[in-house]
Amino acid sequence: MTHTVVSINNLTCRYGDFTAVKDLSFEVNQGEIFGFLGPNGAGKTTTLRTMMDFIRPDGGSIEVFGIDTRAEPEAIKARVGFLSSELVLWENWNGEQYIRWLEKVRHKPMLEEAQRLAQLLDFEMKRSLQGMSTGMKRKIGVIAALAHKPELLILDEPSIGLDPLMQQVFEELMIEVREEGRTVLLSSHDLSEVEAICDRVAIIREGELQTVENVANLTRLAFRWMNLTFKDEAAPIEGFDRINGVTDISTENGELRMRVSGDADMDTLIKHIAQYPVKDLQFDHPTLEEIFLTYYGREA
Amino acid sequence: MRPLFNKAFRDYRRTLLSLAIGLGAYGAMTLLLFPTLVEQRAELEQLLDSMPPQFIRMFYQGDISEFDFTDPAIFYHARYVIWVLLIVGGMLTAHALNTIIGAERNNMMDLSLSLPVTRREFLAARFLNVAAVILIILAVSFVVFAIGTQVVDEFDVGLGELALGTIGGFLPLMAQASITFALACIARSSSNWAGPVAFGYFFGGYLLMAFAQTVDLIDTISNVFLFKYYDASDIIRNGVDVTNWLVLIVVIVVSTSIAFWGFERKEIGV
Ligand SMILES: Nc1ncnc2c1ncn2[C@@H]1O[C@H](COP(=O)(O)OP(=O)(O)OP(=O)(O)O)[C@@H](O)[C@H]1O
Ligand SMILES: [Mg+2]
Repeated sequence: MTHTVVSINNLTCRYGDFTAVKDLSFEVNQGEIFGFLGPNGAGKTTTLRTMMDFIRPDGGSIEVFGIDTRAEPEAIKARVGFLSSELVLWENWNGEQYIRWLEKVRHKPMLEEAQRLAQLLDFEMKRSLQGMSTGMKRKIGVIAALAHKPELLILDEPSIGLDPLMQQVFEELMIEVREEGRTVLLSSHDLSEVEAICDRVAIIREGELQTVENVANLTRLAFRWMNLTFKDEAAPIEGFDRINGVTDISTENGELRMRVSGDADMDTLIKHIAQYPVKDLQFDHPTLEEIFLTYYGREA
Repeated sequence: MRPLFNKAFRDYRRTLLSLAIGLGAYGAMTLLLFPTLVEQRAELEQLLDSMPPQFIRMFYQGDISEFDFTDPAIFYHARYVIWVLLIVGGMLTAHALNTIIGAERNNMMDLSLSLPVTRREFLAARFLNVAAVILIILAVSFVVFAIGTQVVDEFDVGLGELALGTIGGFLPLMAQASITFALACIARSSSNWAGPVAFGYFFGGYLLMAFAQTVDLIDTISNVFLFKYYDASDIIRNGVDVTNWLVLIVVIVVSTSIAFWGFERKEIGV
């Protein structure tokens, strides 16, 4: 039986007259990495901050570990590691002092785990936080959120500011958390990041839930843009439109661009391309907007 | 709660240290000038007589006919305590605004409140920090002027009276800080009125005092401001006016309650 860790029920959040989140409902289960995906201004931060009781619902409710966020927020926060999207730090400390202080507030040992994480993330615990780069501050934010081994991690755009190598380390850390049966809820506006580690995603747009989907299904549904250039200037078009799953063929500046769906007949496509002298081949991931449109297209 | 207080205090300790050293040094300097002042009493009185009464009221809130710079109690209040009130009051107003609205705006509050502490504990730590800062400044002031009574013969004030007169300053300063906390807690962080109102009330009230005894209407209005209820020289010479202390205590209790009530309901960073 799956155990529900987060349960968002008909959540509505307003800023004055503006409704940032409308009637949002989804659940996050124990031991999964759950992605909360949406373009800028979709309402992700608003939702996560409501979970932390920083702002209060104008309708609906949120339960974390079965506790209403309005009833006993401290009980929830003791078991949650939170990372804000706009992280600021108390700069007059170094990482170690900061973690030692957190130990006192949380009444939990954290330093040893923090040092292990710091090593993985290539972070110097003894360096003053003053004058650190954005990415470095981000790292201590991640360390502080993880080091008390919380049952639930609520991470608002955790990978902003991390370079690709560190992003990889971060993804491995998330997978480690999942293997220990703990739960991750992370927001992102980057589909490929979510695809890489999440089990399920909720997609939100303009405050409204679009879908909750297994990442595997989303990927199957997803498509890529294929961009081809050929050694002979003229790009051949004929034949491509007969291949299953290939649509929206166009040429521009000698480049051939087509949309290749997740279940396209790749074998035929590659063999067809191989008849021509290929100079370069590139794939573009679809934007979130394109994924939404695909969704509506399928449902329609 | 304890780590929160330690953190708040630690963050303010540098400001506190420079404030204590600065005010202590200033106190010692004015004390050393006191004998000269007494010596030149005649010239001084002539000078003061030629000045408009509003000018004197900027240093002295008591009965203006009793004003005498060479009286040690009045000297202490007019040349030192009033500056402590203005400087420390102004700084604590800025501090209170900064720890609530400033922290919301720069997202620092999210960091604090993501920890398993209640909002009440968070705010209580801030209040305690402010109280500690005031007490330390007043203690330094007392020590400097207590030494003064031994070193400067002309500065002839009983230690008990000096202590009472000095500690009386806790109430208006704490009242100003609580009022600012209350305003910051009920204001939205995106609004801009809490700061001007808090500073306006404090410094505006001070400037109004200057005109209070000369214009009746302003005299009535000045009852609303904190400066009316504390005068170190009055406490030193005539003892504590219980009504004054009660007024300030009520102000502190009411504004502290509003602050906690408002903070509990606050939408952080909105
Ligand atoms: N304090 C606020 N006052 C008024 N409107 C706000 C406030 N905070 C957010 N909004 C609005 O609410 C909507 C949702 O914002 P939110 O920050 O939740 O989006 P998001 O999904 O986190 O976006 P991003 O990817 O840019 O971080 C946006 O239109 C935003 O302009
Ligand atoms: Mg956001």
